[in-house]
Amino acid sequence: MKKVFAVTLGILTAIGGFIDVGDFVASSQAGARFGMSLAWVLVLGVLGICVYSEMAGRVTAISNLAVFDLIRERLGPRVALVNLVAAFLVTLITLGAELGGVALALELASGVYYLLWVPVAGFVLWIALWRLKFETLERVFGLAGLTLVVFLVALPHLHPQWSSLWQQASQPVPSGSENWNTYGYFAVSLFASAMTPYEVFFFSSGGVEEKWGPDELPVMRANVFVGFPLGGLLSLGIMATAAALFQPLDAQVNSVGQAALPVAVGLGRVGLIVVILGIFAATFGAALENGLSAGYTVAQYFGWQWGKRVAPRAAARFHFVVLLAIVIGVLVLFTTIDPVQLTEFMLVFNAVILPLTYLPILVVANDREYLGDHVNGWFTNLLATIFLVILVIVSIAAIPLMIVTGMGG
Amino acid sequence: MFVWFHLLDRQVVDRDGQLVGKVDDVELSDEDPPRVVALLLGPRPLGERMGGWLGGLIANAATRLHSESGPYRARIPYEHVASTGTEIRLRVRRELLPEPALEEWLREHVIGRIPGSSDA
Amino acid sequence: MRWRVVLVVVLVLVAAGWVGLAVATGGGTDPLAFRQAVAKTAQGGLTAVRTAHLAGQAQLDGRMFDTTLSPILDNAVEGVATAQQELAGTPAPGAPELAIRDQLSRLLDDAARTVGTLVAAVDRNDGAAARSAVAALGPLGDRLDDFARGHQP
Repeated sequence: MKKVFAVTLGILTAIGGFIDVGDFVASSQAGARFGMSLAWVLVLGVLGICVYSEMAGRVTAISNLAVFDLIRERLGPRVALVNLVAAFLVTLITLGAELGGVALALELASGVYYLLWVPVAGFVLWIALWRLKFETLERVFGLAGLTLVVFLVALPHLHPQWSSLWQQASQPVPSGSENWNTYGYFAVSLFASAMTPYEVFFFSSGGVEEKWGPDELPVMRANVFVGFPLGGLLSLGIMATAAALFQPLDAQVNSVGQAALPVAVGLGRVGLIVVILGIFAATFGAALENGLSAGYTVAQYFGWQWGKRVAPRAAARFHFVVLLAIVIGVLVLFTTIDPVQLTEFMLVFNAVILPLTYLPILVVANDREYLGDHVNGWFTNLLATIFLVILVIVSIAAIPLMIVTGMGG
Repeated sequence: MFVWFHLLDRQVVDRDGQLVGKVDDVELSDEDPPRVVALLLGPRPLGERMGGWLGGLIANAATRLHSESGPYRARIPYEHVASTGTEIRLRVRRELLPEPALEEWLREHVIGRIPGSSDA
Repeated sequence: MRWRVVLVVVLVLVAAGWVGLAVATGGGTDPLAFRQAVAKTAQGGLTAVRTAHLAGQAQLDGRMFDTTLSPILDNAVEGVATAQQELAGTPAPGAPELAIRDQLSRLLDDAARTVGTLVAAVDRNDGAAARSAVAALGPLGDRLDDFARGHQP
């Protein structure tokens, strides 16, 4: 019984922890502009992150090492350094975007200008990372993120045309005033939002923090193959409510407040409270993960002591990098860049580094020296390679599409 | 015998499992075939091994961050190595090895000064 | 040294991206560029009006909080103002374009006024004024929608 409880808890945490500001923005923008005709991209992205997360989780459970740790060992310090620089910079931007999301959620709750919330959010974020245990951070924000199911609850109350939603989903073509360029751009953004690299690094480092061993493999797989798709379902809910409310009115989504509006229209004040809480939990949780990831990537490259398993004194460089990352995130927001625009940039950059971050995972997962008999089977390798090709296409297309469409335009 | 390929860039842990660093370079003896005399840890050895302008950058970072005893460069004689595998386990505790200047400085001046730094 | 080549390629791509963005978002003086700019501006105004309408209606139906309504309406006000600025900065290459620009300009002025009225009414807790402003935003949104559809490049 206890085992069932633990597994359920893990799955629920994975579902709630799936959404971050990137998923939120990309899904609601896509829903408003394209209805459900980009839904397939989400499905594809979720499948991709499942395949690669299982690999990363397996690598960690068997070798007791985080995936990023192994990149330097397998691919050498030069390649790993390029990987590190790219991953670290993107993590910084992502951290800024998530903090922006936190501040916007607080603005919706309080009416107080979001920029005033930014330093508060940054400070609370750092305190949480300093004081709270890893498992506590994971559980609390993962479960709180489950409240985003409110989008699915709100959907029927918006009286959508179910048949036309379904028709859009099964006919993946741009509609109305959109063209293939904007379609492609949003497809890239959506895909990047589902397969953000930091999630995999974090998943793997978290496995070391929680001391996974071969016994944890089934639980890890349950979390990935049940939790992540259900988390993706939440993303589809966000897309569907935006499609139901905004698309018939030809309105687009460019703010977090707008993205939450369908829940208010559908469920009223109670729904509004729940959705604001959900956005806060999702973005704050993601900010926590990104803060830690910033530390993980640098520390794991150089071999420094890292993680929350030891006292901060014993991992001073790791904690300093985390602190620095949060400060930089706050400073980026202080440039008064629109947090939603920052999120859009973040997604494009994530898209560009996708192959760079995922290829090493595939290489490591095939290494018998670390995994023994647990190396990838031929089917996993086939799937992973197909996805790698997709990632390369997405990575190459990202910047040109961004230019041609003027960031969605 | 390409023993050192299995050593380079591996994680070094001390006898209690605490992380020490990565094997940034190895010191070989003059014999033929050469054998590994010591493990070298630190930005200097790493930068010198990487070569190019990037390696030079890293090596120079070491000079800027050194403590009184010069840039951090741990030379761990191979006798201290207990086992090699996916990680290199030492026979000694971390405290007996020279501490990286950056870790020491940050602990003394930044991290160590924040309340709660001793709680895991 | 392969990674150096990769690094240079990435940097060039990023630089090209920035330059491209600048070029793409700048205005043009040919009719096609004009239509594109006008369509984009109209869309911005339309989104702002629709959002204000939905949020205002939700407020009237008791489905909204004051503290949440405030940032959403602020965004809508900003959206209309941005659209007006964009339009003012779009040169019209000829007489028919000038007429189109004037038409959109009038629609956006209406939008700015009506959304502003809504904001003021909400601040004053004036239910009647808020109701009439929300009621006006519906058809205004439809007019902007028709304009945007009719002037697709």
